[in-house]
Amino acid sequence: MAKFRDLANANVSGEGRAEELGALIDALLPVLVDRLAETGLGEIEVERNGATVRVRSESLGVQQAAAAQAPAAPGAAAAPAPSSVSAARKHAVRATAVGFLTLSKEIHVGAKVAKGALVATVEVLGIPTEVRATHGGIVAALKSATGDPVEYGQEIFLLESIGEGAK
Amino acid sequence: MIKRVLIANRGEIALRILRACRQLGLEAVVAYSEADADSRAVLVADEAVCIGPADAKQSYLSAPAIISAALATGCDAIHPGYGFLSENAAFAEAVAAHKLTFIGPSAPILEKFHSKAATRALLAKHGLPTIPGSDGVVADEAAALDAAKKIGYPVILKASAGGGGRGMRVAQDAAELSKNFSICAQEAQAAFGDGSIYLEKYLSATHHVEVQIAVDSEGTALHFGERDCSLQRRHQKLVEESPSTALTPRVREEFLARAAKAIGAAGYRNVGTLEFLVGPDGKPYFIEINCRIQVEHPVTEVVTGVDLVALQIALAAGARMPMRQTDIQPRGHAIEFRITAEDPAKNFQPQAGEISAYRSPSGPWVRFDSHLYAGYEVPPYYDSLLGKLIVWGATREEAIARSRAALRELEIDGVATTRDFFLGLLESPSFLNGAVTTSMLDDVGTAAILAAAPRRSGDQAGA
Repeated sequence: MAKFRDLANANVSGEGRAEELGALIDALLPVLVDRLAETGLGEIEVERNGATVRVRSESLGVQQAAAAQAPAAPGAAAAPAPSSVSAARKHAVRATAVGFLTLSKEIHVGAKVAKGALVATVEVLGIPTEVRATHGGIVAALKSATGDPVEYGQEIFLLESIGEGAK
Repeated sequence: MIKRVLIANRGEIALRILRACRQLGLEAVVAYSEADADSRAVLVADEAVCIGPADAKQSYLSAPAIISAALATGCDAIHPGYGFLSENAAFAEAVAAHKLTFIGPSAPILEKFHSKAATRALLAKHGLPTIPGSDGVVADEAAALDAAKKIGYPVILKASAGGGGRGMRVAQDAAELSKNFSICAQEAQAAFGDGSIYLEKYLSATHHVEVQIAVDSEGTALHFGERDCSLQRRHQKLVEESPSTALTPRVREEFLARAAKAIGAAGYRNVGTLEFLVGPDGKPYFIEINCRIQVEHPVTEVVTGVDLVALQIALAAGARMPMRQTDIQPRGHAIEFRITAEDPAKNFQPQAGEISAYRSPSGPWVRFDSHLYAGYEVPPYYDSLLGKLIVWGATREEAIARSRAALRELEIDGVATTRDFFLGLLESPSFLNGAVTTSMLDDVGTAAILAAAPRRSGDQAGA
């Protein structure tokens, strides 16, 4: 049996298991920290087997997070630290009805989304049904595009929580 | 032409429709609620689409969700199964408005046969005898009392928009009628959105007999014999069989022919069922019509050899009747047992939970239409039907003997079921001699029937 959502999301990567995630971080961390220092980039993100590891320069990262989210702890931005690592938490934003999808214009990979924001509509016989973000975060991956048929509960895109500031 | 069918139902009937579609070479998409993501129809289907949460109002009863799902998955037809939206004219109309084929009677026909009171009057005009009753809907309590006086007590109050045994109350005298009238109207309003009530003479110990009919778009109407559905509990059918033990061959022949002729002439289309009560004179009197495929349709399939779901789909697609009345020659005797997740020892309380072990019966002339599998979680949200055991025999006696063997072979662990109740029933003299009336359960008592069931340890030895 292939469920509708399996067919529609044939490229969806699975959730990594905890131990796999641990091993992945152990292997990638030193390499990524070195590369961050070499390049002077604010942030590096690597995706393997459906799990994402992001390494970010603290001063830059927290400012970004603070801009998008609830205020970070006041001292955090001021206190520079070499880097922080988060095996980012991903939240799927799901279709609230069965029908045809329209993504809101501002939704693209890398976009910041506030909790409760209107991120898409599903058209049910001509009537739009709202899809709102259940979490705040950054759009990590799109799973459906405008015009796609979606079923109830189908993943539309993945949101990644933004470090310590994200709730 | 129908190429791709959205199956807008669940449980065993979703599986039954899926099988018919595959046999006809049609693509099928199973629509399911979140609670049914692991249902057998979803697992077996080539494609399935989630239409909403467990709450049926937002899934199986949501016309927008179902039609939207059909459009999103590229279907050109919707099969509503039974229950849910299967007889809803507004739904059928919306389906047609989106250029999809509704597999069932069209919206105008559902509308025409929606009112039970009006249908009784219409079919009486076309030559079907009806139970004495009120002249259509009774406006108020005074009108009900007036009508009951003419009909004679006891009377039964029925919701004009009702079905599935709901919205019915019996009144033995005027005091009871006064007491029950407003309650019944309120119940009907709550259950069906229509508080209209009509009255019929109540026949307490009688046979409930129904005729399976099919009518093509040209009005060619055939009957496929009768089913006896007398064994009921609170107007819910438990056992159905064909032929009925209540009809003489002469009465049967005349009655079946008359039913087919009347329903064709009255303008009905697609498959349907005419329900009758057998009067004290041994003749059937029309009570109501069901404008859908019925739960107990396999009983007829087994004795006639006609695939009624395939026929229903073909007729909805505009096909002419593919057979003549003389081609339909019922053979032998078939009995169906509705195996439900209900505990007969606890007043048939509905059960939910995981099926920890499952063994389906099999063998010659044994059919078990069921969506069960070991590990399946019976959700608490929907009706409690787990499967239908249909057994055929050359005679009623042979069918009963084979039913005993099949019921003993059936094993469902994890939830209480009605299996043992049926094993007890098959030891009951009333059932064995064919005296199965609508009041049999009240007369004999559930406890006595359960006590007659063979001990379960005996089954284990044979396992």
